[in-house]
Amino acid sequence: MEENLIVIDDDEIALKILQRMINIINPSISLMTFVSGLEAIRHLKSKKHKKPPFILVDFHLKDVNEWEILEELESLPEYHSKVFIISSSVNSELPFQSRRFKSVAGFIQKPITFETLKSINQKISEN
Amino acid sequence: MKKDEKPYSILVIEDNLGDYVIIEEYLSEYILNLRTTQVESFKKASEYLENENSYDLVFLDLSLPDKSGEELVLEITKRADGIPVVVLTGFADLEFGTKSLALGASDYLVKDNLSPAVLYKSILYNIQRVNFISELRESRKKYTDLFQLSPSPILVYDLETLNILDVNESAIETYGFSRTEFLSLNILDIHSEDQIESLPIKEFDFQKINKESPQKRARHLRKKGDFIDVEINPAIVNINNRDAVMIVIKDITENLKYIHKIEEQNQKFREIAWIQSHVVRAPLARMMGLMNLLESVEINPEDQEILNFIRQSADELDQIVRDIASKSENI
Repeated sequence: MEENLIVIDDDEIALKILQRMINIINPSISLMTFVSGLEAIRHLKSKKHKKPPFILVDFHLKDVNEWEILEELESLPEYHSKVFIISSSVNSELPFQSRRFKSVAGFIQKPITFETLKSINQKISEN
Repeated sequence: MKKDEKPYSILVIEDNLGDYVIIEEYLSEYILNLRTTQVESFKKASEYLENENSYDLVFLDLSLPDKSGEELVLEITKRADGIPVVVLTGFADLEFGTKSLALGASDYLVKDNLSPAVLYKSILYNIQRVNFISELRESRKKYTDLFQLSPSPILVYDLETLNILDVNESAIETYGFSRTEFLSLNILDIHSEDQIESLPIKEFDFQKINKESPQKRARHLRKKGDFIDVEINPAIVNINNRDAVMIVIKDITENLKYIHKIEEQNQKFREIAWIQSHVVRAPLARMMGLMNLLESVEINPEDQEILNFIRQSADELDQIVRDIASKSENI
């Protein structure tokens, strides 16, 4: 089955937590995770999805600059309004700065709550 | 005729009693409260001038038994110390009368031409004149002091030749050049090459500066060879009928150093704030995520209490990090 949610985060514990929470909310979601931003970009560029999945991307990856990843996604129109930025930062500038990218649908401050995941689940089912 | 009611105290240095009596009489015609003191020799006169310094005016006969002529005028004016000295001469000494003015006397009168009106007028005129002179001297001193004792360095340079015309003590101290060295420089000599274009040299530039920004920054060269950052306040002044520029200088080298240091520290502080905001909060967010997960499963009430405490502690820590981040964002 084709994945319908991609999470890019180099914090593996955070990935595990997210995985388990998603399982609780909706076990039928097909989740694909990346700890490397570069690998994730390669995957997104090479694979043509029938239904482009939603993407949660951590803002501070070690291997790729946060803005570079958004620039890459700008060139893939199928991901416009499909990307949620996740970040543990409380810097109030970040959500504002990321708004100029067409791909960005929202900004989620960590920790991700069940409520947030439920609304994402809603979007996935409407996709 | 109404007499002058102001009190006058006059020292008459005259060895001829007849002449003294005439003077005394003439003056009494115009002056109501007159006090004259007669002394007959230079020696006596010196004593009187030294002991009582409240005379309004001194009349001096040119030939006394113990001293006369040029030396007498010199010595008396020296001792009179600001009190006007009016020299009395005979016809034969007319030429010397003029010379006495150069020696420090304020006026001279020819004895044979004396009249009450002439004497009275001479008194009024000479007392007034001395007052003017001392006022003038005082105000000149005041202005010189303002310039010399100003804590800010002040330079004056010719608007056309740019030669430095005057400097104050503070300028000498700040720049390290002596007064003589300063006076052999022009204003461009104390500027670094790249700044010369922006100098307020031409009158046109000057008006522009005064209008747009009265203060101007520059870098000035010191004798040591190092530069100081300065803020200058220029003004046009007229010296000996030439336009000159007076610049009051404020050394802001230290201020700029401080500002630079503060900026550096702010940068470091922003970095620390960033670490707080993101790096410290990352593991905290993870812990909070784990607690979200734990809360989704059934646990016994005792463990639930412990979980609540952990949750409470994590929330508090989160609030602290947020406070630090939001405060530091404003820097």
